[in-house]
Amino acid sequence: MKKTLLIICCMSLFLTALAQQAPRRTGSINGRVVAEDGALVSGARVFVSAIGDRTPSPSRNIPLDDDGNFTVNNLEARGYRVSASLPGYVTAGEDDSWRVARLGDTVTVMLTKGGVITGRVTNQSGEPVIGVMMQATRVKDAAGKPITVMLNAMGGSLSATDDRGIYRIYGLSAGSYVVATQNANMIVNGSPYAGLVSTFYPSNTREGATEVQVTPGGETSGIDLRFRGETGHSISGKVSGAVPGAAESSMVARGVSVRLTVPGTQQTLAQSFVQTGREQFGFELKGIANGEYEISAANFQPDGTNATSPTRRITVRNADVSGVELVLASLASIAGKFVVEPAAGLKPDEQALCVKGRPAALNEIVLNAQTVAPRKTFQTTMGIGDTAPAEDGAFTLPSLEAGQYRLQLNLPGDGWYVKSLAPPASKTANAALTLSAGEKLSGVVVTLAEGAAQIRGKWQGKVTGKMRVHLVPADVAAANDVLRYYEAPLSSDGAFTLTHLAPGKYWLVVKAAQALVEGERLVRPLAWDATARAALRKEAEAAQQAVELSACMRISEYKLAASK
Amino acid sequence: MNELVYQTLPPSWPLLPLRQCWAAVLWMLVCAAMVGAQASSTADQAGTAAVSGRVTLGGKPAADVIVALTPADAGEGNRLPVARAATDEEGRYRLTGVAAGRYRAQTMAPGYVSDEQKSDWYISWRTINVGAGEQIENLDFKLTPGGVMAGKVTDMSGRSLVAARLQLFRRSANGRMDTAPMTPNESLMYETNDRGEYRLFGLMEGQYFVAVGTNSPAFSFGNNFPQTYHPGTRSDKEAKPIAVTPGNESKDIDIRVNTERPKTYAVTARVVDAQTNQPLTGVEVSYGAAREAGRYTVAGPSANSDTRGLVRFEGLLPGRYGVVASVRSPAAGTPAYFSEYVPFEVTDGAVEGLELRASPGATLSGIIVIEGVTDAAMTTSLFAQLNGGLTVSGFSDVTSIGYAPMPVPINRDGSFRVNGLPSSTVNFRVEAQRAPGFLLVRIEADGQAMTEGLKVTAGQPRQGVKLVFAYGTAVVRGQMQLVNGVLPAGARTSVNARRTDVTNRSLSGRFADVDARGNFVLEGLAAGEYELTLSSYGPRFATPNAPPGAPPPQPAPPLTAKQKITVPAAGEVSVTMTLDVTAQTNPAGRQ
Repeated sequence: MKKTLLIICCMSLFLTALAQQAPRRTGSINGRVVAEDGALVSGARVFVSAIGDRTPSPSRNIPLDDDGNFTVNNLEARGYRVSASLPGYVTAGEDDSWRVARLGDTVTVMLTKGGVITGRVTNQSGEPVIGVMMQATRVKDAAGKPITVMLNAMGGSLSATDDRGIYRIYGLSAGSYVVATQNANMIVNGSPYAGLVSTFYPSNTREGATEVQVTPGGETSGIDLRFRGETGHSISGKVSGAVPGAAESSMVARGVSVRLTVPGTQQTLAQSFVQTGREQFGFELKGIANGEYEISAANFQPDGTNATSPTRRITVRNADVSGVELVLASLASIAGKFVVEPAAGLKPDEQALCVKGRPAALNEIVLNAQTVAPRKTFQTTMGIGDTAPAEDGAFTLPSLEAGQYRLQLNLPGDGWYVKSLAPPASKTANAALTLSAGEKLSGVVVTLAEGAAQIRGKWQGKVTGKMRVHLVPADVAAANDVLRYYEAPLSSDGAFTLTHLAPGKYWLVVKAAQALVEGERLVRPLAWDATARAALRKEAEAAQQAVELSACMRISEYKLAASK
Repeated sequence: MNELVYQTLPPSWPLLPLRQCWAAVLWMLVCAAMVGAQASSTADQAGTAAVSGRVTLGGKPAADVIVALTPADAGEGNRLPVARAATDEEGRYRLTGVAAGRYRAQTMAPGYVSDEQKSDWYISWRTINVGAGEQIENLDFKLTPGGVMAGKVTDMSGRSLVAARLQLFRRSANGRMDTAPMTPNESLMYETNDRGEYRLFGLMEGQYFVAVGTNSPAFSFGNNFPQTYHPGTRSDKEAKPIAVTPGNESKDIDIRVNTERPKTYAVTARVVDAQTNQPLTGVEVSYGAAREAGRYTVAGPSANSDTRGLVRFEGLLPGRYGVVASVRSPAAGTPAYFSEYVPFEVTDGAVEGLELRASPGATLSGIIVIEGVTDAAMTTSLFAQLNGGLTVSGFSDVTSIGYAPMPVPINRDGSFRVNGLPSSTVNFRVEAQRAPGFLLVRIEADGQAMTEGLKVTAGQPRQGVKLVFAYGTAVVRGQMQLVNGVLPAGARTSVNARRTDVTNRSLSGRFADVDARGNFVLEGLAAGEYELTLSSYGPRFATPNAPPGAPPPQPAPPLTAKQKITVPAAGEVSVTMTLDVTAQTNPAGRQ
């Protein structure tokens, strides 16, 4: 008996060892960094990072040749994000495709020259103001659409004035900016301007600010202002609630920050870290002018366990405001797993097709949660990031605000399609997931099936602007199943690729692309909205472009006729 | 005293664009502020004292200059003024409502140089001890316009190098290069703009060398390139000194950089658990150029091991390196891992197959004893006070790099335990702000009093360590008396009180700065005999007109004075210490 046990033990050890020794797929990603103006890009930095890594690993340094080509070898099979930075340049345009790089892919990163805002800061007597930090906050994009999302931690791009009072902020994306001296609540070490009211271009309070236009690669000069140097008032209070780690020793800085914003926007006016010592999370924002504000607290932890407070409205009128209490609540999350259902009942020729496909592992999947309806503003941009499941398919999407979400999936290889998405019963609403504030939803099961079909083709019409091809289920029973709707962008010549398709009968139709919502990286699929879905299906049916997909089918030169 | 500075990775803040180099610089400041934010202010209650004086610029009254008091003991980066005022037309300022306490008094006038800055002791300030209700007058500041150095950084074909970081070096009195002080406010100016131009202002008069690039082994990436000095040399011997004089601009201090990338190679290392041989994921691995056998600088980048335990670094030049794994400040609940240093050499190909055998960090445990306190209730209360104020830090044996202070949690019975320390000689530190009155006087290990620092080794628990603290509330108020002259402008003077029976040389005593009026206050001392050591450091940099070829004078050693005093169990004791300034020019006369 004892012996048997020992053998079993040894066997299981052996098996475990085998499992761990199983060779992992490795490979490389190739790419090129291109500057739109043909500038030398060998000085660019390329960042390749595995999506979904809990511990954010410092990006690997990738050498570039003089033409901007690079190769990253010896990567594990995962989904990667590839980006590049070149001082003075910005990543070209917004893109409606989901950029996930996997082994064997070739990636092109386009950079365009950023714009410049420059000017001079003087005091009331016309003397230069030296060493004051100037901040340019982008409030509208190049198309004039308001920015609703905080794009970086500091709230804007910065430059300090020199001994002549001159500042120069460069590397700006095209759009409209608000330019002001920074309220230096966070930059407190010996700055004479710490905690003073921001002066907005042109020499005004926030209400009197004039927007500054920046064109791609252009220089907007003469953005001069007279620094008012007013002390203003302070807003103080404390942060309580779910402060991660509050119970532990307070010796470690916890990074709880308080941010003051322009109501209804994400334009940061002042920001401060709370004291995490024995003062018990007190905060004070100095240099605040009379006006209406929104204030909120947030705590971002490297492991994604973040907390935010509800936004509070504050009015400052000729006096300090004290006793503001901000209660942090941890954000909601969605957890679940991916399972793969082997293809059953495939014909031998179908099977042969299927096995030929590129191999894929569950941790190569990339997913994110997107709100079903566009949000007006984002309290936090946390939660809109991508993640990846673990090797066993388990995943967590952390830091989500309350709302109704759907999962966006980017599947590896070409063999899988999403068969079903089964949230816990109470949460089912046509594969959408409803989260209340702070809810930790778990048990979501995404079932993938083998045998996905694929269509490569070309639309015969003339591509104007951004357009997308839609694949709409013809089966009336699937009319409301959003998982059976697919869409993909058309390239300028009308070419498209639809992958990871469930077998079945569909209609194809091309439509102008829905706009990308500012602050989101992914186009919200048209079929997510019930009305749009019904209209889409009607239109697709009328267009009479039907296709019947069997398991593992590969259609390579599909000619999609332009509808009249 | 070593101020341990550690870099914190920014919290995973949303979409921080990496191109925002300046934002990244600010991040470092923010991180510093977060660290500094731990220190609480002693002086936040309103007071009735006042400090006043006059600010002059080139001998004339300077109007609209901000003068501020910041708490002397607050952490760097969190130095919010407790009082600030602008000078009037006569250059006069008056700071009111000041509570009793220790402060740093400073002018905030970017672009100008204040007289106390002339010590160049990296961080310049003037300490002022303020008594309750005291009216301090004539705390004057003399400003001079700073010098300006401006130029352009280009590659060999004349293309601008954007966002290149500059390093400024002082030419010290002995002719060598010395890193120039760089204050956070001014740090943004140490970078070229989109036209490749830079402009450094507010510089103290003197001689400088200016460079861009870095000699980090990873230099061949991004707009990093080998460190190149003005006018365009990689050799510090050929670097051209630049004279900077007050209010003048040294123009066209250009740097031409050879950005050509030499052939580089990749190195791959695998991190495994030393016990189980299993690969370790998410362990931070860093490498650096080897200096000498067994020691190297971690100047290179770091990366986290992947699920195979692998890390890969690209772009290494041929040369000798070392690589090491460390999880330095592990998140709660995750184990710390450290490896030994593994040397390797890059010759003409990729280096593969390096294995880093990592062990959990060292565990240090033992008991705290408060000397001379027998009452149980008192002991418990003192343990509670010390808890949260005691940290342990150190310098890694392998890399000589300091790690962040880790709290030493103390139980009610005085026992303590710290996990996850790298192999190092540890340093205990009591934050006087949190736990005033405690001084570590003895460390016992293996039943013996130690005469030097305590060593811990990763993977080997160190148990039964006894830390003996003295606790006291006595105060020493001192006055420095100068004979045979005055101290040079900006001399930095401090006093250290060391109990004469403390034999362990790694234990420091109580420090206090000597303030602008020659006063010092040493607080929280236990009864006993102490030796006070007063040390004053003067300027040590070359003047702008020192002839380049002349044999440089040796930097002056600090002036010192020593005195023994007996401190009572409680209350105050006064002391006057005499410093002979002639000792500066007569080293033989010094002790």
